[in-house]
Amino acid sequence: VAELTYRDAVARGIAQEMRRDDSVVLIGEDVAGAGGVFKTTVGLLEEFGPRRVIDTPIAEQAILGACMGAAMTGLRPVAEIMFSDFFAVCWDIVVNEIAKTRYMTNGQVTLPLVIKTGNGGGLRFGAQHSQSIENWAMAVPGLKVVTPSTPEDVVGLMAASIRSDDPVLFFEHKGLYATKGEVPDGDILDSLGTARVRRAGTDATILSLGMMVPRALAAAEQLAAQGISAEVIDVRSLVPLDTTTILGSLAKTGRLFTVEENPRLLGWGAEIASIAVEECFWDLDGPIQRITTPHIPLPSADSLEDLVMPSADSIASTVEKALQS
Amino acid sequence: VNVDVTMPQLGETVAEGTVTRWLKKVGDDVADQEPLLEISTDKVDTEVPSPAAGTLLEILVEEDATVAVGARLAVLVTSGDTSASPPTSGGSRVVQEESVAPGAIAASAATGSTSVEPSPTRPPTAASTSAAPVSAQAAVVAPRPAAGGPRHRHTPRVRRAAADAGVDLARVTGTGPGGRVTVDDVQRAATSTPIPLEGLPSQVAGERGLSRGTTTQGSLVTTVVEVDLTAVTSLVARSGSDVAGRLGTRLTTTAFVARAVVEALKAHPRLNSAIDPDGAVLARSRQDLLVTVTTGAAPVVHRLDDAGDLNLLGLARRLGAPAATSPGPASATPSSSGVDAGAFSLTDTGADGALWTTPLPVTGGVAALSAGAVVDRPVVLTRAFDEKVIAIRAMCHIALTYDVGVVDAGDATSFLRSVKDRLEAGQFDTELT
Repeated sequence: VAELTYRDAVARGIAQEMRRDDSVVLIGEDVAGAGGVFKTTVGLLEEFGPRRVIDTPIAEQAILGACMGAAMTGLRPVAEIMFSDFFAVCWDIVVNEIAKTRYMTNGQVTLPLVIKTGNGGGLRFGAQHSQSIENWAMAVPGLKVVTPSTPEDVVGLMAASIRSDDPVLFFEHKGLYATKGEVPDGDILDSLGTARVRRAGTDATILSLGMMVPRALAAAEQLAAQGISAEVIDVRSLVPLDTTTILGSLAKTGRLFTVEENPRLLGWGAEIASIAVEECFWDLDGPIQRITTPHIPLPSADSLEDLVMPSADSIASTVEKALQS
Repeated sequence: VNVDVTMPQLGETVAEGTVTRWLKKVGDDVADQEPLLEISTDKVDTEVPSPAAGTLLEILVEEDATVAVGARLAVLVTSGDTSASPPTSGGSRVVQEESVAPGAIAASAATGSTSVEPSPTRPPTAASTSAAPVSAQAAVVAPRPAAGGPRHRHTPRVRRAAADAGVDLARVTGTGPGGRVTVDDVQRAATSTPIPLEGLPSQVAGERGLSRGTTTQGSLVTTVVEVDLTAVTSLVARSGSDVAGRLGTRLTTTAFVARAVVEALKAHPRLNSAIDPDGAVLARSRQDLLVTVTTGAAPVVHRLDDAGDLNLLGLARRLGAPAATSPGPASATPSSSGVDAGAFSLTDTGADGALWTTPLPVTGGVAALSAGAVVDRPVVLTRAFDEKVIAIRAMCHIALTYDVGVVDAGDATSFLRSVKDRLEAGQFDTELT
C-alpha cells in the first residue's frame, strides 16, 4: 500500500498498462517531455521512450485523428485533451467518427482507445477551462464515460478503460489532482459500470461524481450531526451506469439527491432521476432533488465560483430541508 | 485597521503554495482587488488580489518560500484607518472613514467562507439571478405548485405501504413534517386502526351485515391442499415422549399446524383481519387462534391469545391444557370481547378420520383452516435428475375457507402454500429443545 496523489495515480495506471501491453501508447500536448501540464504523465517518457509517449502540436483534431487511426490499425492509444472544454474543438471526430465506427462498420472495426482529460472547476480557471462536460459525452451513443474520485479508482478504472475494446472518455477532475489516497501495491483492474457506496445510510441517497464526492461525504457528516443518515454513492461511471447500486439504495432510503458540478439543464442527474421515477416510483418517499451549478457559464471570480458550485453546506442544507418538508 | 493577506485555497485540495513574486513593496499603496503578489501551487500560477484598499505594512513570506493554505503572507493597513500609520507613508493622506466588511475580506481571500443560502426548491441558483442573464434558467427551475391539496400529499412509498397493509390513508394521522403521513404511521395504523376495506364491494359488506349470525356462504370459498406430514409425524414420534417427560405436554400434529398457521398469518396479515359489526375491516396486530380439536365425542375449543408470541412447545402446552371454554362448535357465537372476535379459526378433525371438513370462519372472522386425518399413502416423489419414485408418506388434507370480499384468491393460495411448505420442510428442531 502506498499513499499516492490522484495525479500520480493517472501516470501509474497508464504505466501499468503500458508495461503489460506493448500496443498501449500515449499521445497529447506536453504529455511526454513536460510530464503533462497537470503532471499526470510524469516518468512515462523516461520509461517507455518517445515512440510510445508522443508530444503533439496544439491541435486537438490531429491528436484524436491520430489516436483513432492508431486504434484502427491495432494499437490501444491513450490520448489527452488537456482541458475537457477543448473537446468542443474536436467534437466532430469524437461524435461522428470515434463513437460510430463500430456500428457503421458492422463491428468490423472497433476502436480500443481512451481519451483522458482534465475536467471540472473550482480552480479559478474561468468559464472556458472549468467545465464539467460528462453530460456532453453521455449524450452520444457509442462512448463510455468514466469519472474517478480517488487515486485507487484512477488506477483501476484507467486500466479497465485501456482494456475496453470501445472508446472511453476518462474524466480526471482537476480539483482532485492534489488529493492523496492509499493505493494497493501491484496491478489494479477495476470494472467499468460499477458505482461505489462511499458511506452507508438509511434516510437519503446522495449520488455524486468526481469532486462532488468528497463534498457529498462532508455534507453527510454534517447531516449525521442533525440525526440524518445519508448514503453517499460515488457513481464513477455514467456509461455504463450501475443502476443496480443506485436504485437499490433508493429502494432502501426512499429519497434521492444528485450532486452535479455541471450546469443544471440536462445534467446526468436528470437522466438518473428519470430512470428512478420509471423503475422505482413506488419506493419514492419524496421528490427527487438535484443539486447543481446554475445554468450559467462558470464565473472566474473566486467568490462567485464558490457561490455557484455545490458545496458541502449547500448539499447538507438542501437535503435537510427536503427531508423536513 | 490591519488586514491580513493569506495564502488562498486555490482549488479544493491544494494544501500549500509558493510565493513567486511580490508585485508591491512595503509602503506601497494598493487598491482593493489590485494584484499584490504572484503565487504558485501544484499547478496553478496566479495573482493574489489585495483584500482591501490600503498600504502594504509588512511582508511576512519572502519570494520562493512555500507556506500552507491560510498562512499569513502580508499585513495591510486599510486606507480608512486613522490609528496606525504606515512606516513609509509620506506626506499627508486624505483619511476617509471606510469600513471593510469582514465578509469581503474572507471572500477575496478565497477561503471559501462565503455563505450561500440556497432555497430548497432552487439549489444554488439564487445568486445567479442578479448576476447573469438567466431568464431561461429561471423559467426552467421555477418551483412547481404542489399537486392537489394535503389529501393528495402521500408519497408513492407511503401509498404502497398503505396498499400492502390494507390501510386507508384518509384515516391515518400523519406525524411527519407538516403532518405528512410516514411509512411508520402506516405501519402503526395497520396494527391498530379499524379501516374500511378498499375494494370491498359494498354489496358484500352489506350482505355481511345482514347475514351476521346466519350464513355467509355466498362470499366464502374453500381451497384444499394435500400436505406431506412425514417430517412432522417422525418428529412427534422421535420427540413426543421426551417432551412429555420434560414438560408434561403431549406433542401433537395440531401444535405443528398451529405453529405453521401463526407464521403464515404474520406473512399474510389480510387473513388475520376481522370485520366489525359496521362492516369495516380491522387489521389485527396479534395472531390469536381459536383452535377446535375433535377428540372422540365432543370438540374442544382452545382460545390461544397472542399465539404469535408462542413457539411450538408453547403452543403444544396451551393445547394440552384444559380447554378454557366450554366445548362448542367453532362457529358458535363467541363472546363480544377477547380473542375470538374475528380470530382465525383452526379445526383439527383428524381424530374423526375425516379426510377434510369445510372450516367456517367465526363471526367477524375472514378465514378458517382445517386439518384432516393423517393417512399413510403411496405418493409419487420426484428426486434428483427427475427420477420418480413411489414412497409411503404421511399425508394430510388441509382446507382453507376465506371471505372473497376481504381476501383475494392469490393471497389465500399464497397463505396455504406457506403453511404447506413450513410443515413439509419440518424444520422445527430448534423449537423442540
